[in-house]
Amino acid sequence: MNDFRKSSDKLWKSLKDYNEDPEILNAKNNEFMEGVTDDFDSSKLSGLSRRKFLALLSASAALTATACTNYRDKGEIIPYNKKPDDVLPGVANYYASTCNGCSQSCGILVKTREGRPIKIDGNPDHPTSKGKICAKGQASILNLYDPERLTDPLVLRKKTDWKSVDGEIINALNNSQSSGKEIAIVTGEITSPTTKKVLNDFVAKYPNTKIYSHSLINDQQRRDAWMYSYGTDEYPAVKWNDANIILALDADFLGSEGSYIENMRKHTQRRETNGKIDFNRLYVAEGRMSVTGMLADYRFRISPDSQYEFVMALINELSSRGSSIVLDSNVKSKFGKYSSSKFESLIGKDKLNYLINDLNTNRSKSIVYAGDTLPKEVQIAVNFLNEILGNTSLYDYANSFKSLVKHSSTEEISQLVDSMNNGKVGTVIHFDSNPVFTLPEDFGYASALKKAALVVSLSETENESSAAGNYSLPINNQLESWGDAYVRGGIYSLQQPVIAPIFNSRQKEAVLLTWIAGNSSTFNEDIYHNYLMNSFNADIFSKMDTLADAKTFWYSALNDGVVNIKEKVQPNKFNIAAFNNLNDLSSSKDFTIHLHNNYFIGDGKFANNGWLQEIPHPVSKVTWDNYAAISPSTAKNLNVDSNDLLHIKVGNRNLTLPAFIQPGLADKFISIELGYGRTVIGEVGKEVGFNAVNLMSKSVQSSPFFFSNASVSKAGGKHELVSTQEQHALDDTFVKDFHRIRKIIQEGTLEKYKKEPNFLHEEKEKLFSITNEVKYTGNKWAMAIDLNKCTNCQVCVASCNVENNIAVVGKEQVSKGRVMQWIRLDRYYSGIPDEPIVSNQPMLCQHCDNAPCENVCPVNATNHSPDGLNQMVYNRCVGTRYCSNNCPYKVRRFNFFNYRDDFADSYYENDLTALVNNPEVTVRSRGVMEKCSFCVQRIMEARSDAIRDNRTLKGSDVVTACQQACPTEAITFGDANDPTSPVAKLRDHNLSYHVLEELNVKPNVTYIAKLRNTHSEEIL
Amino acid sequence: MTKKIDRRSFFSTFGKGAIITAVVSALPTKFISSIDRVSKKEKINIVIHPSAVKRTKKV
Repeated sequence: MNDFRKSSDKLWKSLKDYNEDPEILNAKNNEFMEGVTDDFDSSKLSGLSRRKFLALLSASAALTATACTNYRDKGEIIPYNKKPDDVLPGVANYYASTCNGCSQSCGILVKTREGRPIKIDGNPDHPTSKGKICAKGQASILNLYDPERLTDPLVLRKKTDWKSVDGEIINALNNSQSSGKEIAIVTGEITSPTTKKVLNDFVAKYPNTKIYSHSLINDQQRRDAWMYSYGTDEYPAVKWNDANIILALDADFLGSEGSYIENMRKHTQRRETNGKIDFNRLYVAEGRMSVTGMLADYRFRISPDSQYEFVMALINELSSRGSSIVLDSNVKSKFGKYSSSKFESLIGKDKLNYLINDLNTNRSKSIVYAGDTLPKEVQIAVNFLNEILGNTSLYDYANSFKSLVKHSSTEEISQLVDSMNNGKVGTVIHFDSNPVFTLPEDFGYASALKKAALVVSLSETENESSAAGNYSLPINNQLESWGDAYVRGGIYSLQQPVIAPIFNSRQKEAVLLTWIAGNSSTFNEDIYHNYLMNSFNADIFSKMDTLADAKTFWYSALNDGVVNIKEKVQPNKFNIAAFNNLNDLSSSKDFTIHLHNNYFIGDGKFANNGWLQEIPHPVSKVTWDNYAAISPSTAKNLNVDSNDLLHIKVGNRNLTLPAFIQPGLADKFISIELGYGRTVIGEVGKEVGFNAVNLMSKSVQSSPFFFSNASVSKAGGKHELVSTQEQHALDDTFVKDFHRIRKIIQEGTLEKYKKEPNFLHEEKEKLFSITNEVKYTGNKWAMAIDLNKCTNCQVCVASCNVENNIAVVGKEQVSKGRVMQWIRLDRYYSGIPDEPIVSNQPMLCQHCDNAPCENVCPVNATNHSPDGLNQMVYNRCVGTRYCSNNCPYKVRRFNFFNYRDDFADSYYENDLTALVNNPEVTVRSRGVMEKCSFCVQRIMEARSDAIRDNRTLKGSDVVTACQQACPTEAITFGDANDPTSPVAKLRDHNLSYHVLEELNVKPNVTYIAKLRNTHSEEIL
Repeated sequence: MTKKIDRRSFFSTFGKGAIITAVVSALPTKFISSIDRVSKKEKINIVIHPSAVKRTKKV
C-alpha cells in the first residue's frame, strides 16, 4: 500500500471536482477548453466561386505585401563607439542593493546587461534573506519599465519643470510656516534611518511640519502588544528552525506576513529528508485558508474572533501542568474561566489533546505565534502563553524588528483631517504614500484634502492621492535610487542605483533636501548620495572596528550591500499587568469579516504589474481579482455559488464583490484580501478586484482587520473569477480517483517512513521499453523537487517569468486556459470540503527521455539534445499543437496571439517595457509553442565558462532561475550522470518518484514525496 | 447569375493586378513609416549610473 489516505478519500482540485460536476468531468475529458481546439466548420463557410477566390487571392497578396506585415523597426544594433567602463557586451554585471517593495527591505542582487537591469534576485550575503526574495521582489523589475510611470513633474496634470515646481513649493512652504499653518508629510512605513534624518532636517527647517506614517498592511497590533508586554515596540524574530512544535494562530508566517521568506527557510530546515530526520510539527488554527494553513500537519478552523478564547483555554490547560513564570491568584482567575472543552467539538478531542500534549512536552522548544491581523489582546495572551511554556528561548533578540518612525494612531490621523477641514493645514506632502486609497473612508481624508492649500504627491506613478492634489512629482524607482535600511537588529543594508534615472524623475529625499535648502539650484544628482555617505560615515563607519578608510569601507559596503553591526541586546521582562489588564474578547455569533494581506500586489503598489496580477493565488488559483472567500456550508446557507455577487455590510460601510467557495474556511466567516480595487493607476491594474478598505473604519473594534457584526446577503448578478486550477487537468474520466491511483501525488507520514523507509516503492514494477534506449554519456540534466519543502509560494513562477520573458496574457485569455507561465503549481485537496488536506506539486516540463511530444512534431521543432534536454526550436514551430496534445503533463504553452502586442490589459509592447527582456532568451511570437527549457541559456553560459576555463562542466555550475529563487531550496538541479551530485542522490532517495512513471516516458523531474508529521501512520 | 468574363480579359486583369502588386510592394512604405515613428518618439536613453559599485566577487 503506497498511500495512507483512507480508501474512501480521493484527491480533488475544486468543489466541482469533489462533487463530480458533469462540467468538470467533461472538461477533463477534453484536455483543452471548449473552443480552443475547434476546427473550421466548413458548413459555415460561404460558398465561393473559383473566380472570386482568385480575385481575393490577388487582392490579399497585394495587401500582404504592402500593409499586413507585422513589421516593426527595432532599430539597429550598433557597437559602442565609446564603451562604458565595466561593460562587456554579452556579459552581465551584478550590483548589490536593497528592495523597498515592502517594509522587510530584503537584500537584493540586480543583474544588468549593457546597463539595463534585467533580473532581481536575493543577495546571498544578506543575513536574513540569504539570497532569496519574494515574488513581488522578483517581478518588481517590471515597475522600472512601466510605461505609465510619471515622466515629468505635473502641476494640475500639466507638464512643468522642476525649477518652477521647486520655486513654487518653497514659496508655499515658507508661506505655511510664516502663517502658522501646518505642513503635513504623510509617509508609508519608514525603514531608512537616513530618510528619517532628512525628515527631521525638514522639520528643523519648517518647524510647523508634522510627520504622519501610515501603511495599509502593518504589524501595529503586534508592536502595541509588545509595548504593553515588554515596554518596547521592537519585537524579536523567532528561531523557527529550533522549534519542535509551532502553533500559528491566523498567522500566515510562511506566506504573507512578516519576514516570510526567512521564515520559510528556517521552517523547512526542519523538513529535511536527507540525513537525520528531525521534523517539526506545525499546527495552524485559522479562519481562512492560508499558505501556512495548507502546509499544516494539523489544521483547525477557528475564526479570528474566537482566537482570544482559544488562547486563554490553552493557557488554562497548560498552566495547570506547570509554568516557567510565577502565577498568582489574580492571573489564574483571568484565564480560569476559559475551558478547552468548548473547542473539542469544533476541532476534535484527539487533535486538541495532541496539541496540548505537544506544547506541554516541548516546553522551551515550541512557539505559539499570533498573526499580524489579530488584536493586541490576543498578541499579549500569546506572549503570556510563551512565557508560561518557557518558549522565550526561541526569541532572537539580536535580530529584532526595528521601529524607526512610529505608525500614526487613529487619533493622530483624525486630528490631521480636522486640521485640514479647519483650514489649519497649508501644505500636504504625500511622501511616496497613497493615503486616499489606504485610509478608511470614514476618516474623510479625501474630502479634507480639498481644503488644503497645496497638496504635493511624490510618487512613481499617478495614484488616488496624487490625483486629488495639485502637484504630481515623479520619483526614482528603487533601481535608480540611493538609500539604506535598518529594519532588523544588527543588519544595515544599502541601496544603490544601478541605472541613471530613465525619466525626468528625482530621488524623493533629494526633493526634500532641495526644499530644505530653499533654493532650486541646490539640486544636483549627488545631493542625496553625498548626504547618505555622510550619514553612513557618522553612524555606521564610525562604530566599526575596521582598518579600512571611510571611502574604501563605503565601496566595500556597496559591494556587499549589507553591513553587520554589533549591538547589545537585552531581553525585557514580561509585564504581568499587561495580561491582568486585558479586555476580554468574546467570539461572535454574527458573520465575521477578515481583511488581510494579499500575496502579490502589496498595498496596491504592485497592482499595475501584469506579472504579479497573473500569478495564480497560491490557494484558490484565482488570478486578476480578489473575492469574498466563504466556506461550502456558508455558501449553501446563503444560497450562493462562486462568482455570485455578495453584499457585505458592516455598520454603514458596504462592499459588493464576488463570492468564491473556498474549502477549509470557518463557517459564518468571510475572508477578503486588501490591496485590490485601485482606481487611479495604469491600464493593467485599473479596477482590478474590489477595494476592501471600504469596509475598514477609524472606529476600530478590537482589530482594524476584522469585524464581527457584519451582515451578508446575495446581491444578485455575477462577476467571473478566473482560476487556473481547473485548467490543464490530467484526464481522469476513465479511472476513478486518478490522481491517487496513478500516484501523481504520493505522500506518507513520518511515522510510517520511520518504520518502512521504502514504503513508496514496495509495489514498483519494472518497465520495459519497446525502443532502444538512448545512452547519455556526458552531462544529463535533471531536476528534483522536494515536496516536503515546497510551500506553493510561487516565487519560482515569478522568477521564471522574468528570466524567460514570459508574456502576460490578461484575464480574458487566462479564462480561456491560455496562461503562459512555464511552471504550474498544482494544488490538490483530499478529505472533505470542510476539512481538506492540501497537497501541492510544481509541474513543469519533465524533459522526458522518451518524450511523447517529440514523436508527433511534424517539423522536428521539439527534439532532444545530447545532454537530455527536451528543447524547442521556435523558428521551426508551425503551431500544430500536436506536442501539447501528446504531453501527459500538460506543460506546453501555445502563443495564440502575439501577447506583447495585442492586449490592452496585458504585457504590452513598447520601447520601454521591451527593455525588461532577457537578451539571452528568444521573445516568442504568435503561433509558437513554448515550455520550460531548464534555463538552457544558463546551461550554455556555464558551458562556455567551462570551455574558457578549460575544465569539465559540472552540474553544480548551473543554477536554474526557479532553483535560484526558491526560498526553501526545494528545487535541486544538476547532472544526473554524476553520482556524487545532489540531484543524482535525490533520484535514488527512498521517497523519490516520477509522476505517471508507468507511461515509461522517463521524466527527468524527480519528486520527493511529502511526509506529514501526524501522530499516526495515516494522513488525517 | 455569374458575370461572364472571357479568358483573355481575366488574365489581363490578373496581370495588371500582379504588376500593381509588384510596384506597390516595391515602394519603401516601411522605411517611410519608420521615419515617421522615429520622429514622433522620444528615444529611451539607458545610462549606467556613474556611482554604482559593481560586484567584484562571483555571485
